[in-house]
Amino acid sequence: MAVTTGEREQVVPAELGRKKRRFRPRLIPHVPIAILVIVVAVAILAPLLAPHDPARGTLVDSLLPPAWDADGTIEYPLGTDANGRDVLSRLIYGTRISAIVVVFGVILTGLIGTAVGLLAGYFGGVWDAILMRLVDTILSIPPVLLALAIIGALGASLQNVLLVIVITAWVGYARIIRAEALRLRNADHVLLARVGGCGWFRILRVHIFPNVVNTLVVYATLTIATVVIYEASLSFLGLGVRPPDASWGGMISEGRGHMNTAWWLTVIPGIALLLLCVSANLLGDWLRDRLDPRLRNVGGS
Amino acid sequence: MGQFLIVRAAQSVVTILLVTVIIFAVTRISGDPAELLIPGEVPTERLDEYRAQWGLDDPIVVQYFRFLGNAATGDLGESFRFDQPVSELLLNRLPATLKLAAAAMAITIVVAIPLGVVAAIYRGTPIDTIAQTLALVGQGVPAFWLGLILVLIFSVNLGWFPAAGDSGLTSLILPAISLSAFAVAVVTRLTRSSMLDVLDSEYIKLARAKGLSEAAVIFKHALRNASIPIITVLGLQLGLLLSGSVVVETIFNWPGIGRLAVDAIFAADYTVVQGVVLFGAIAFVLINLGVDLLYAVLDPRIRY
Amino acid sequence: MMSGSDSDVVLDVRDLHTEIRTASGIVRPVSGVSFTLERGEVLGIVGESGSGKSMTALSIMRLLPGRHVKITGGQIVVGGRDLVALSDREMREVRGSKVAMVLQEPLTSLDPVYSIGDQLAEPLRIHRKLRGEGLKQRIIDGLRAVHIPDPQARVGNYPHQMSGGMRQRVVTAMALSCQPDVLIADEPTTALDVTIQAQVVRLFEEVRDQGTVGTLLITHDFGIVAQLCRRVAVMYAGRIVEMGPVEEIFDAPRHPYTRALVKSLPVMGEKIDRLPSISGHPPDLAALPPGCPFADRCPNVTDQCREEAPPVEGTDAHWYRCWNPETTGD
Repeated sequence: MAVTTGEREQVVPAELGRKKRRFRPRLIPHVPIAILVIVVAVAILAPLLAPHDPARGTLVDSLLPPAWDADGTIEYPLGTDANGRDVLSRLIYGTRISAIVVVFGVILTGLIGTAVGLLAGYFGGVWDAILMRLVDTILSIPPVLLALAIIGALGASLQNVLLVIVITAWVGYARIIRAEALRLRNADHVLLARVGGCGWFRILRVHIFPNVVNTLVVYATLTIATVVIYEASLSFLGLGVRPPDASWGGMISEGRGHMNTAWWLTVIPGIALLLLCVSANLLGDWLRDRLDPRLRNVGGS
Repeated sequence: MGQFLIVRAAQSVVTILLVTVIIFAVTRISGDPAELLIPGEVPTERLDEYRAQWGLDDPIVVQYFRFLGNAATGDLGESFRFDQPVSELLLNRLPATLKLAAAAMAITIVVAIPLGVVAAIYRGTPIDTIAQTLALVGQGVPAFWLGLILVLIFSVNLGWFPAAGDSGLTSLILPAISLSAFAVAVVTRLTRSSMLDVLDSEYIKLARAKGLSEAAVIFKHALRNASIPIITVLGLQLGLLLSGSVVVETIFNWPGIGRLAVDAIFAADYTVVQGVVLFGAIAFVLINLGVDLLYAVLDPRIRY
Repeated sequence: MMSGSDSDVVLDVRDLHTEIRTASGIVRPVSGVSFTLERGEVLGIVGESGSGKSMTALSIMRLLPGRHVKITGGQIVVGGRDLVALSDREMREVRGSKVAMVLQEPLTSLDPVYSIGDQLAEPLRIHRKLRGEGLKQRIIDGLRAVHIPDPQARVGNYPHQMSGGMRQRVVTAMALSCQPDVLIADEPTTALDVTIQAQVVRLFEEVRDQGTVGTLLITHDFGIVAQLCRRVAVMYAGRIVEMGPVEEIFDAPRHPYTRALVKSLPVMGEKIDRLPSISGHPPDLAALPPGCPFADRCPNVTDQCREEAPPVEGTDAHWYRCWNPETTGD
C-alpha cells in the first residue's frame, strides 16, 4: 500500500515487511536445499546405503510392516513388499530414477530449450516463426496424451519416458528464453557490442546468456516437480520403469493391491515423492522471488 | 473483434493440422505401422492384406492425407479389441470423462477462488498461511497417490465412499478431488497474487474513496479485474484436467476415455490410443481458443 | 462538536495524530495537525515527500493503508460530525458524498474494465439513490461540467480510450458528482504533462469559483498553490510548521524551512522532489529529537531548538512554530 508521495511513509511499512520475512529464509531455502542434496547424495551412493538388494527378497519375509510397528523388525526399517523386498532399499534405488529424470527432463531439456530459444529470439525471421509454431503445437498436446501415443507405439521403458519428457519439456524453456532474448536483442549493451563488431555467438554467450541465467534457474527449479511427478505417474500406470526395477511410482503401483493390509507400501514412496516435489517448488518459489519476479505465475504444470 | 476471432481460429486450425502430423508421425517411428496397428502374431499374408487395404504401401504423403481426411470425417479407424469404430468407443466413454472433469472443475472454482481471495484480503494472517500451505502441497502431490490415500482413508478405513467405479454422486467425489488438487493449488496461488496486485491499485483506492462498501470494492472491482488472468488459467487447467483424468480414471476404475486409452495400450489396440490422443489434443486446442475469446470479452482493453 | 458559529467552515481538523506501528517503533507521520477549510476556498498543503501531507489526506478520508496505521488522536469535523468517531458504515456514507477525493494517478485511478459511465454512476447510486434517466442525466451533466466534449458519446468509453488529461477530468467529475462539501486533491497534477496541468488548474479554479466546495490541495508544486490558494500550510515531519496567506508565505516566510522552500522555488509546472538548497535529509520519524524536528537542517538553530519544541507564534491568520523565526521583510 503506497502512500503516494511519502517516501518515508512507504519505507516504514516496507521495513516492517522485511522484518517479518526475516525469520522465514532460515527455514525456506535451507530445508528444501538440504532435502534435495540428500536425494542427490542417496541416488549417487545408493549401492552403499541400501541395506538389501532392492530387486530380490525372500518370500518368508513378505509384507513385513515398518520397524516401529510391533510386528516389524529392524532388519527392514520401512518394511517389505509382497515379494519380501526391502522397502527402504527400493526407496533408495528409486531416487536414482528420479535423479535421472531430473537430469534429462530439467538439465538436458534446459540446454536444448535455451539454445533454441536464444537463437530464435536473437535471429528472429522465418526460423523463429517455424520454431515457435512447433513450440505452440507441442504445448497444445497435453504431455500425458503424447506419452500415451509414443509409449503405445514404442513400448514401456524408462528410455521412452525420457524421450517423451525431452520432447515435451524443451518447449517451455524455448518459449521463455526466446522472449528474454527478444527483449535483450535491442538492449543498449547488446547493440553496443554489435556495433563494436562482436560476432553473434559471442553476443549470445557473453551479452545475452548471462542475462537469462536467472530466469533459466528459476524455471528449471520449478519444473523439477513436474517431471518427477510425470515419470512417477507413467511408471504407476505401468508405462514407465518396468519391474523389478525400483521407481517410486512403480512401488506405489505395486503397493496398491495390498492397500488394505500393507499401507506402508503405498504411503512411504508417496511421502518421498511429496517431500521431493514440495522441496523443489519451495526452492523454486524462493529463487523466483529473489531472482526473477517476472516469472511469478509460472508454476509447475 | 471479428478479425481477432478469424486470426485466432485460423491459428488453431494450423495447430490442429500440426498435431495430426505429429500423431501420424508417431505411428511411423516404431517402424512398420501395420505391425503396430494389427497386434499380436499375425501371418504375413494378413499384414500384406492389411497394408493393401489401408494403402500402407502408398507414398507417405498420400497416406497422411488419407489419415487426415478420415479423421476430419470422424473416421478414426477400428478397434481390434472391441471390433468397433474408435469414434463410437470415444463417444460412449466421453460422458464419464466429462462428468469427472466438470466435477473437478467445479471443485476448483468453488474452493480455489474463494480461498485465494480470502488469502489476499487477509494477507499475512494464519488464513493466508493455511491457503499457501495447501497450495504448496496441492502442487507437489501426485494425483495418483492422492487418489490412493483418499481411498485408503475414506473407502478402506471409513467406508464413506466407494473405492472405484461410476455409481452415482458418492463415487464421483474421491476421483474429482484427486483430479482437482493440482488445479486448486495453481488457481489458489494465482487468485491470491492477482488479487494482491489489484488490491494495491489506485482504482481500488478510488473505489473506497467513493464510499463503496468493502464487498463492492472486492467483488465488483477487485475480483472482476483479477478474474482476467484467473479465467485464462482455469481454461488451461480444464485442458490439463482432461488429460489428468488418464491417471485418475485408472485408479478409480472410472469408465472414461483416459482409462480406455491406458487399457488400449496394454491390449496393443493402437488405433484406440491414436484416436484418444487426437481427440484430446483437438479438445485442448479448442479449449484454449475458447479461453482467448473469453479473455477478449472480459478485458475491454483487448480489441485486436 | 459544532465548529463554532462559522457555518462556512466545511472541514475542521483539530490536533490530528496518526501513528504507524513498525518493527522499529512507532512512527508519527501526522503529529498534531490542525487547520480549518472554508467553503469556496482552496487550502494548499505543501511539503517534501514524507512530510505527512498525504497521510493527513488519507486520515481525513479514513483510508489508511493497513491495520498498523491508525488515527490515535484529534478530531476531524465535517458538517458538525467528528469523522474519527464514526463507525465504518457511517464513514462510508461520508466518503464520496460529503468528502470526496481525487487521487494522484489519473492514468490508473479508473477501473480499466468498466466504462466511465458505470464508474461515474457508482457514487450517485449509493449516495443519491439515483436510477435510470435521472442518473444518466446527472452523469452527462457532470462530464459536461468538467468540459468533456461530447459527453453522451463518452459515457460508454473505457478508461484506456481516453487521454490522461481526460481521465483526470473524469475523476474530478466523479469526486464532484455528489456535490461534496470537501474535495481533497492529492497531487492532482503531478503525473500530468505541463499543458494538461494548466487545464486541470483551470478546472480547479472553476470549481473554487462556484463556491460550493472547500478544496484541500496537497502538492509539491508552489506554482499551483500560487494560482489556486488563498492560504497555504507548510508541513514538515508530520507537523504544520507555518500557515498563512499565500502572499505572505511567499514574500515574508517566517519559518526557516518555509524560507528554504520558497527560495528553491522552481519554475511553474516543475515539481519539487528534493530541496537542493536545504542541506541534510528529512528526519527519521521513528527517532525524532525532543525539540524542533528541523533543527538539524536549520541555519538559525540554537540549543533551545534542540531541546524544546517551538511554540506557535504569530497571528491566527499567519502563524508558525519556531524559536528563531526569520525577520519580516527579508
